[in-house]
Order: sequence, then C-alpha cells, then structure tokens
Amino acid sequence: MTGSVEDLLAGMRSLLVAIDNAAVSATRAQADAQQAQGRYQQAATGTAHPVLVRAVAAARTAAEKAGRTARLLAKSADAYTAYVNKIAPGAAGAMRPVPGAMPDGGELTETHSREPKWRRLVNKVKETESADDGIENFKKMANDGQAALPGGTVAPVRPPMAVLGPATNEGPQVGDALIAGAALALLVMRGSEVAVNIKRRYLKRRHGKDEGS
Amino acid sequence: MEENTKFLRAILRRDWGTYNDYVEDFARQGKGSPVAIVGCAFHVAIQKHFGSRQDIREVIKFVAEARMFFADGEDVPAREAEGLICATLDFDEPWVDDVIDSLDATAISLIEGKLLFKLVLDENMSDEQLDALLADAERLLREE
Repeated sequence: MTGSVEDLLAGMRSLLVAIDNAAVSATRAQADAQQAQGRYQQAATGTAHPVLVRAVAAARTAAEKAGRTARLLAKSADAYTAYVNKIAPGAAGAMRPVPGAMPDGGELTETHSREPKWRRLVNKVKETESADDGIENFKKMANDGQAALPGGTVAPVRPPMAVLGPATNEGPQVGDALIAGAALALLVMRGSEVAVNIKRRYLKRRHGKDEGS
Repeated sequence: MEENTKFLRAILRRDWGTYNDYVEDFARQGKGSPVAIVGCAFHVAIQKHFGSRQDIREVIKFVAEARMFFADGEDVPAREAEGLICATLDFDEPWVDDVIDSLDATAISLIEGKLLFKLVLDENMSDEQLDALLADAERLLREE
C-alpha cells in the first residue's frame, strides 16, 4: 500500500471514530434526558404547575432530539462506511469499531496479542490495597448511598449532603422539585456542552493530526 | 472474609451500625478506604449483571440511572463510569484505554464503588448472594 493511500485511510478512520464517538455522546445525552423526564414526572404528580409541566416537556424534547441525533449519526457512519468500502473494499470493516460487536478474525488475532482491558483495569486497582484518603471514599459511598435511598435508614457517621435551601414542612415533593430543577439545569448545560465538545474534540483531533503529519 | 471486605459488605448491605464501627476502627488504625477489593467486587458484579448483553446502550442507560440516583452525580462522571464498565466487559471501544490510563486507582474505586452500590441495590441481592459475590471478589484479589 502506498503512503498516500495509507494517509487517506488514516484520515477516514479518524473521521469514522469521531462520528461513532459523537453517536455515543448523543446516546448518553438521550439516556440522561430520559432519566430527567422520569424524575420530573414523579415530581409533577398531582400538580399542573406550569414550571414542572414545562420541565417535563423540555426533558422529553431533549430526549427525542438527542435520540434523533444519535440515529442520524449512526446513519451517517453507515453511509460513510459504505462509501469507504466502495473505494477501498473491506477497509471500513477493519477501521470501524462497532460498539459491543464481536470482533472479526483479524481483530481477534490482534485482541489475543494484547492484554485484555478488564485485566489491565483489575491489575491497576489490585496494586493499591487501601487509599491514603482518611476513609473519604467510603464515607462518600455510604453518605451518598444513604441519601439516595428512599426514606433513608440510620444516619452514617458523617451527616449526608448539605440540605438544598431552608428546611420546611412542605414535604418531599419540594425537595424532589429542587433536585429536578438542578438536574434540568445540569442537563441543559450538558446538552450544550456535548454539542460544543463534539465539534471541539473533532477539530482538535484534526488539528493534532495535521500538526503530527 | 478480610476486614476490607467486611467494611465494603457493611456499606453494600446498608448496615450502618457495622459501617460506623469500621469507620472508627479504620480511623484509629490510620487506614484508608479499601481499593483493591472494590475493584474486584465491581468486576465480578458487572460481569454477572451484564452477562451476554454486550451492548453499549445498556451501559449508557445503567450509568445514567446511577447518576440520577446519586444526588451528588459528580462522583459518577458519565464517560469514566461507562469506560470502566466497557473495560470490564472488554468492549473494543477506542476511548476505553484512555479512561483506564487517566484515572488513578483511588479515583477508579470511588466511581466503581458507587456503581456497585447501585447494582447491588437494583438486583435486590440477598445476604447469601452478596457473600458469594464478595467471596468471588476475594478469589480474584488473591489470583496472581
């Protein structure tokens, strides 16, 4: 294979990886939006407050749009793969890592020659028996787990998270609504971040490649 | 069962009385949060939970649920959490290696610990099932 064809295929692989990564990000945004929608619906049960009605609608729209984005990106990657296969038959199959798919023969050979990812990860944590953290990690796990449980049980040593706003006797719905509101703000931020980051990462990657070549 | 495993077990069983005892005991001894046993228990639990469902959409959905479950979702960053599960399932995702490389063992164990807490809760594990999981985790820990 000549150098120019190799460069061309490397560029195509980079683009395909960028599209696949964007599709994963969009799927992630869709899952987050669906979770937020579920929370809003819980919080809005029994109320027709316009803020919560709008929040449910906004989360649903976000989930639908993110889902559509993910489908379009997947379609785009498929079309691009078909194009690459036309100009370099078989090249796209090897260059595209299909999420969760079984590797083909060539990929299996490559996979067997390297350490499996799960082994690398397990070995990494096995090197550290205990953290030098004053038990902070375990306190976080316990406190956050405790705070997330419906009703809670016995309070752990360190009091859980800070209370959102002044304590009132308005019941758990207010807390849910506050959490839901914070989640929406986070979701909106994340949604726009995802869109911006997809573009930024892609441009950065291209820029890095251009400098490296 | 080792002390570190028993400490983890207290949290996973939501046995806050035993948890408080261990916090005091570990603080007295100047010991930190167990890391290795969390990583091994996470590995065993994720393998069992996802089994043959090798689909990244399942992973993304589980992480989104976990992040929504914990009010302090910042401790469960989406990309890192998904990366650790994908690595455990040995998905051939190009970005998974970056996630493993970018986190130290302590940071990994915090994310894995919270995902493990959610997983044990979701599966409504009995004491026997949890003990079997932790016994497998200890075996993996001792493996050379």
